[in-house]
Amino acid sequence: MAAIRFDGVTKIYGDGTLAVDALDLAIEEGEFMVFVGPSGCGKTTALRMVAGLEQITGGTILIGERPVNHVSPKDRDIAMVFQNYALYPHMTVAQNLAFGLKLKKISKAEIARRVRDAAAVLDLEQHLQRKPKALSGGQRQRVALGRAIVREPAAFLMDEPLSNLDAALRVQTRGEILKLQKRLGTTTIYVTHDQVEAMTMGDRIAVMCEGRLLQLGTPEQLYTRPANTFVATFIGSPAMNVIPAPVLKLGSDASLVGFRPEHIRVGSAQNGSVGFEAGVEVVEYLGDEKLAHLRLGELSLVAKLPVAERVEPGTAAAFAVSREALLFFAADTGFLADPPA
Amino acid sequence: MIAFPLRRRQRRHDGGAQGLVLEDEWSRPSVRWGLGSAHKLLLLLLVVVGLGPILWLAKSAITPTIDTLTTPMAIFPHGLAWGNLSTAWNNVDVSLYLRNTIVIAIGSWAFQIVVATTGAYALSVLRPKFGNLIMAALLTTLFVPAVVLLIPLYVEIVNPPLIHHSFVNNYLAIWLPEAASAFNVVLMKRFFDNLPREIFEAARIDGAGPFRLFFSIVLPMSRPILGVVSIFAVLASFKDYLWPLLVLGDPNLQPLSVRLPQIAQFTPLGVFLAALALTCVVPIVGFLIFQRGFLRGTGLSGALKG
Amino acid sequence: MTWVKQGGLSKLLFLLPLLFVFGAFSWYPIVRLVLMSLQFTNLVQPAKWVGLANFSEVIHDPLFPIAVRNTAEFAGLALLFGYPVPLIMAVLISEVRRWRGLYSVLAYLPVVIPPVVSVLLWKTFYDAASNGVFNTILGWVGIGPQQWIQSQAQAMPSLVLESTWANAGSTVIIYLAALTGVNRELYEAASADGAGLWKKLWHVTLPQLRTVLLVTMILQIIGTAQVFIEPWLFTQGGPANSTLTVMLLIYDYAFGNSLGAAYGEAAALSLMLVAFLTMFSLIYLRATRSWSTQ
Repeated sequence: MAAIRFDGVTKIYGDGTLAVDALDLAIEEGEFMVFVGPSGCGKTTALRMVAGLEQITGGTILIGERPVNHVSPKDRDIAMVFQNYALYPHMTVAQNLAFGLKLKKISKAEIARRVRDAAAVLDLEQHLQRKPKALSGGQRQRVALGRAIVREPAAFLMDEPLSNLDAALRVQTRGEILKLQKRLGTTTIYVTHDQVEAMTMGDRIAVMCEGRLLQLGTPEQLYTRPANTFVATFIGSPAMNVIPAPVLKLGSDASLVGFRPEHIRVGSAQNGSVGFEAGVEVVEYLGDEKLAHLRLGELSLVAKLPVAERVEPGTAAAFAVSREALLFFAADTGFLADPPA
Repeated sequence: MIAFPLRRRQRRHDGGAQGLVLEDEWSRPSVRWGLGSAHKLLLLLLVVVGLGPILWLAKSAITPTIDTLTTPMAIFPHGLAWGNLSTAWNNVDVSLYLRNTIVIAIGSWAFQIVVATTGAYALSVLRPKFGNLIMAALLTTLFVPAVVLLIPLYVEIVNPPLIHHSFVNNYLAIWLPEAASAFNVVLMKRFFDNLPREIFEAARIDGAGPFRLFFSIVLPMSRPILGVVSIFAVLASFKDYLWPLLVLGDPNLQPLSVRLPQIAQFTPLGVFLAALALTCVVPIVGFLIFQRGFLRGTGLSGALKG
Repeated sequence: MTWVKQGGLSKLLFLLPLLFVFGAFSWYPIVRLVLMSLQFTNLVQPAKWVGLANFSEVIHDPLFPIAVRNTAEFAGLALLFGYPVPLIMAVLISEVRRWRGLYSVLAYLPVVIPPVVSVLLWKTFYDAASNGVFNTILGWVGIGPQQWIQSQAQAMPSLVLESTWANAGSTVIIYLAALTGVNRELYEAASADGAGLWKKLWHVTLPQLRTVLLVTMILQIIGTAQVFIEPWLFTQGGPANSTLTVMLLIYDYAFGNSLGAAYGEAAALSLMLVAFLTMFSLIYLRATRSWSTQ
């Protein structure tokens, strides 16, 4: 178990692309840290720099207080789980698990023990003698995890390990990975583009965009106090409604106001809330709730309403949002701002 | 008419039938009859023209010379002459030349595999700085027809620049030039290029250095392409004529392809045909066993050149 | 030392076999060829520079135009016999519904026979006596015995016939592979548009095969321009030089009894052959580019 620290880490590719821009980040021992962001934001590059698969252009990465900039991947005491699993196709599951250990010259008995234990934890015991092509996607993913576990590393590095699984399997495996990590207590960096995964799995989440860290915090912090409009609209689904403040008569053009779909109520404004009229375009019935797509002038809004609420597509209605739920952002920078006076 | 719907179901599970003639067209009697006849005609043609000469050779190999000379198309008018085969094998020394052919083929194969795998591995996986330059130099040799290098190669073998010791009558003179096959390297490199890079990264993290990566990961994953390159290396070696003719003057070292024309004059026809037949056994048997490799490889080479 | 650490040494080690073998037996000979064409070499004394004398000797050799014409004739005939036939066969085979493997194997079988064997075999077929194999077969349909490779007029076509037999199979397989790559949906769409079999062949199959067809043609021309075994083993260039090809002439220059040891001329002619084929390829590629890019 080790803490991992990024000190002003930068990555510039040979052709001049800036992939990671002076990243400062400290991950605690045993923490499940999620790097999340759209593609190209640098999260995978950052992960690969920790693994040693990418050279670090500037700054230092420390694994457990040891700078590892010039340490080769095999000596960094990390284990990686790849998006496409990267299993050795010509080896059995057991051989896949044992390969790295054999290279480390670990004793046969110890290797056998670790492989057995990992197979037991991941329910792979019947599959040990099979080759990857005979396994299902979920089983292959578990072998990839197993390969990481047997190394008993200081940190797990996971690069979108669930993105190749179908939706149902993804939800199930999510939970299994979390349970595993809690049980082993290994520091983990988990990269994903899916904010649901980030929110449900991370102890803390690092939201990245264009190589920079936009916000670091717990899921709750990111959800209730997003640092800027990007984080605000990225986290949470459906996305937060962010519109110019004057639309709700709440400030000047210099401000944006944001409110989550679940904070919109049907009905006219009461004390402590702000009201508006909007046309209902489409209503999506989800069983436990309804999503109403609204039109306010040229703006599109989404409201998450209880099923009982009566809204008809093609009609206009009055809606209200509590003032407490409103967040204000500066229109030019997108940063969170105080409510206008 | 009852047969018709049954056949239809069969055909749908018929893997790989091309799409030119669609199911409904096939059901039209004129198409079925016309195409069916064309196929039967083609099959007949292939058997008579493709297989015919080879069958004739097999037949004549065990027919007495006199019969082959007087009535070549008759089938064993006066019985068989198995003796042709044993004479060819022993007295005409087909066994020796066959052994030479095999030794040369194995050596060719080994050198070609070593050069192609190590070179393609370096260019594809290790990626040295001048990799592109080397690739370009390799590709230009693809455009130089091999036969045209015979003259300078011959002079080089007879009088090598730094060594000043002739390599005539040395199998290395055959193995080394043949190993310089840009085709092999390009084929291998393309295959290696298509291997998922993530596997190499996983191996790196597992602690595999370049040698371990080569032997434990890349080579085992490359069995299909190794098979194809091997088949063509061995086949090309069997078919080689002019170069071995030039550099192997010692009859005891010569392979079958070089020796056979030279003994044609003073060998009785029956025995000679037996020798020819014996020469074909290895290629034909090899082909029948490794059909898929041959046919896939030829298709691959066509795609490559395109 | 950092170079070694960064894996530089292993990169070099892995490249060594390739660099050695190509350097010594591919790149160096190419350079040597050019040099030799400008030198007089007799393997005993050091080579002397003679400028373009070798080229001049070759061009003025009366055998040179004969060899060029014969080679063109061989390539042309081979194209005539050996280009459309494999295509037709491949299209037919691709539509075979059962036992397609059998067709492929039969077509490819002649290709695995070593060329020396097939030439020597066909040499017996071409026996000009009335009880030669082919003459006997012709006798069945009432045609008199032919001279085949002993006749100036028939020698070259006889060579081409054997060469086509021995090589068409690999072209068939290449076409077959390309045909299986044609998207089935194109045929279905064409059918839906009302195209019959012949129209589909013309408008879907052939265009999709365009690149393969063009490449095969140029490769065949290049290959047949270098033909050696057939004229050498069948007729030694005869009768009366009617099957003397460029490669045979090169061989004669370098190793032949009559001319022999004229390595300079051999190199010069080799270089001329390469230059011609390269120019031809470039012109060909330029001319067909508009057809093949789609």
